[in-house]
Amino acid sequence: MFVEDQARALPGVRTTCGSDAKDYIIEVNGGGVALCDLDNDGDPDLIVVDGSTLERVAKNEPGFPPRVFLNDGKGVFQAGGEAWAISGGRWGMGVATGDVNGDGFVDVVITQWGPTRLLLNRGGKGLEEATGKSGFTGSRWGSSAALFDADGDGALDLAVVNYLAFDPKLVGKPGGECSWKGYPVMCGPEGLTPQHDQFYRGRGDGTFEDATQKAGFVPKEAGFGLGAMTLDFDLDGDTDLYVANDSTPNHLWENQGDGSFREVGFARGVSHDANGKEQASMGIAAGDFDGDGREDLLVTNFSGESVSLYAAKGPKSFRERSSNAGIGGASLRQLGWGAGFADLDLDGDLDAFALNGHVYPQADSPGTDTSYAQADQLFRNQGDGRFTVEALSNAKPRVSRASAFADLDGDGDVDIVALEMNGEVRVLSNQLERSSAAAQDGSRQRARHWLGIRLRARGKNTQAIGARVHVEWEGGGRWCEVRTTGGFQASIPAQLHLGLGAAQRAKSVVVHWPGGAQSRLEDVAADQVLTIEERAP
Amino acid sequence: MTSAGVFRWIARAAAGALFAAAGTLGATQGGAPGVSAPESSPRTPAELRARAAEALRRDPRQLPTAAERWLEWGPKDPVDAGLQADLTAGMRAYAAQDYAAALAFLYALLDREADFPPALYQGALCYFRLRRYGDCAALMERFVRAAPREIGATQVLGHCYYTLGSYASARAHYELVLAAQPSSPEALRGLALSEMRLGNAARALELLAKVVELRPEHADAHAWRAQILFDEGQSEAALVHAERARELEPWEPKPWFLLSRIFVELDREADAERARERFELISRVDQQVRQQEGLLLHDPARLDIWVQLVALQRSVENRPGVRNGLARLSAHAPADARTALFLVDGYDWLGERSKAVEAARRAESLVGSDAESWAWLADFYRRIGDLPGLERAQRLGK
Repeated sequence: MFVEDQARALPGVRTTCGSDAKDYIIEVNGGGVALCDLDNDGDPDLIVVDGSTLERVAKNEPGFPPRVFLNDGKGVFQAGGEAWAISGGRWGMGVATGDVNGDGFVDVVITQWGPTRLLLNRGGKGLEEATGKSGFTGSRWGSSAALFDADGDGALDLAVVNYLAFDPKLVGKPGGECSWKGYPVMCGPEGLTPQHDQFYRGRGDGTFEDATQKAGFVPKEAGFGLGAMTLDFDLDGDTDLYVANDSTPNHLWENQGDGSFREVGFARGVSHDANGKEQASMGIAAGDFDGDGREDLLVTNFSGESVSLYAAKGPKSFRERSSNAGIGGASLRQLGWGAGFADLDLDGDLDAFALNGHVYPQADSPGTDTSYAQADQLFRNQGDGRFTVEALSNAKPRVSRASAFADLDGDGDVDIVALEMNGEVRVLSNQLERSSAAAQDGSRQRARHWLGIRLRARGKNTQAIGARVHVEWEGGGRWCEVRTTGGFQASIPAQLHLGLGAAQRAKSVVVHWPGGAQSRLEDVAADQVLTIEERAP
Repeated sequence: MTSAGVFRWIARAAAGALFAAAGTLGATQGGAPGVSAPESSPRTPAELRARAAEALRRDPRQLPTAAERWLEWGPKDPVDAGLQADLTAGMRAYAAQDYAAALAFLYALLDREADFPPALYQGALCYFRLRRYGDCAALMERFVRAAPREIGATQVLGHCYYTLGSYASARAHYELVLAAQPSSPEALRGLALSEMRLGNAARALELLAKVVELRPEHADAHAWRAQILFDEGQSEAALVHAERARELEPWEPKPWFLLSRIFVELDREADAERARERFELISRVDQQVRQQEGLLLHDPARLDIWVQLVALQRSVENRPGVRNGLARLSAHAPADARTALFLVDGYDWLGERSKAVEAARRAESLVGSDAESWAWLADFYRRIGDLPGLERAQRLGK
């Protein structure tokens, strides 16, 4: 269904995260990727967060700089040039995007093994470093981050998910101190100290205040945080946060309505697998795959642990359904990272994908029941709560990491960008066939109509992050939530993208804006990106 | 010092030390009565370890095949003496939980006699223990081809398919096993879990009910019934089975996990919180146990790890786990006083008086002039009313 297209779309762009030997845990998670419309020209641009090497760190040299690539509207990315250049930080990890100062342009947060960085968008003409005045505190190993309006004041707040305290001088040395399946491997995360996550209250002017303690964003025990996902899991109108932790229970932060939080992962059934085992979780996707109106969570895990599919059940709870949904067994040997829920075949329900690759090069040794490079997986929704598992693309197995998705080339279907460990930035182009003949024959399987929705909110949260939208069409309907969190070290555009199957029009589009207002449109033509602006009350 | 205090002291001290363990070689060279040592037998422990390492690097799919030669083979068939020696050495290494060494002997056999069924079978079990499920399946599939009449003994192949996520293959294999062994609880359990994974919850519940009929104390079957019922929204029914599982194996985290989740669903928040607290404690121990067991798989002579395992199991009152660990330590006949005292204390805690006394006698020969150890032994003999032992410990401790 997808083909690798980076030779055309993004030639020769690579990232580095330490040595190929992977002697230390700092070298295995890879960098970050964001798709967002930086210049407000209507198409998603690309930010690639690169890493560093321990040699550079030892010499006090900066890490490889994050890079911006601007989309030409046809899915071909060009280096952003001087105006978009970003200096090298310490060791880049993940990225979050959102309009933090309410000027209508997308700003950028970069996590690092080191201080978190803020880059403000200069009116769609470039980025400027604003870390100094940002109010970000401390220097930890940040992995993922999420921008969302937690307290409903109209300004975006920030959660930074941190991994662990790493010092190469103190961590076990390669060559036998730590082992996996009898093979010597890099040490961690077990035996190392997890770092607490952080929460910053946004002031709406590009500055933040550390509100971690005040907001109660401190769990009983810190986890090895890797992934972040915003969602209103309990449909109470505020945005909650789910955090994927490596080898420790996952956290679900229930927003108390005022931007303070309560950790409820265990009680809601999303902290462990169905057997009560904590997992090594990395990536997260959120979406309503079964059409019950509540968003479900898909979490990628270590090899030997299947993908977790936490299906919403009842008003606030979840049940782990990966086996029932047909994806448990097929994902058991994979070590998953980037993931997403999107209607990849535009048939009206949400499919999912997972980008895989092991952390240990030793996975290619005899008897591991897994491998270092791994195939990407497509979980195609059958419309009955079950998925079929297919190869996502024609690509050879890769050691993949973070990913983001959007319609890159404006052809109406969703494409994917993914990082390969110490390798290419991959562009996976959706090759869905949507001939007009197929679209007109009424077959749900073959007709491929779609609708993009871009929201323009009043106030500082200009992209309406946290809005919920219901779209209804002949034969179907779906709730979606606006977010930019991309799960693992990634960010996606705030624009919604729905498949409508055979329907050439949406009967209605209802927007529930973050401030509580509603907008309703009726009889909307398919196959367009619709921009909806929030009206003054 | 209290008994519990001594226990912790011994556990801490032993965990920090590497013991001069009896080598696996000694356990594997002896051979059964009337069976000579294998000609290929390694001469030194270092040679055995080298061969074991080599065996771990082998791919069982590359072995020559000769399944048709064995089609009439049965477990009672006489075995050539040369083959028997390697087989016995392999089985002894397996019994000593030195699976890599066992594989070295079994590969030597299979190189000489392709697809020799007992070696295939035992080799598959070694791989299963080593958590190499693909290799386990490869050898057990060969065994099934070579000795199809023995299909009823191959449920481990179903376990391998299941663990690899091939639930349809697992289901098909468990059905074959059950056709030959209709009352195998483990095959029934495996079939039930495969059905559950394939989305057939009702069938899974039926099969688990049969497991419990056959073996009412099968805690794991009760726990799975609870889980399936909970997933199906039947919290009250799930509660009954979760409580039964907890009664049977209170040291297992899963029943507590389920109980807590069920109580949340039933709005019994205080009960949910209590179950969760217990779950978190036991789960932490369980995680450490799994880590330590993973290390032992590749370093089976690490008696310090066995000591840690026993201490961990005891902290959650896992009596079978403690018993197993102590048996393993006893088999290695530790030559240091602290481990010997650890055995005494462990058996005493289990209430296995004769084993505790036997271990105490052995400890006496190892404690030398350590007054603290003698005092501890004296206290032990006093508690159990062994006056000669008490008198001896007091006298020798001076």
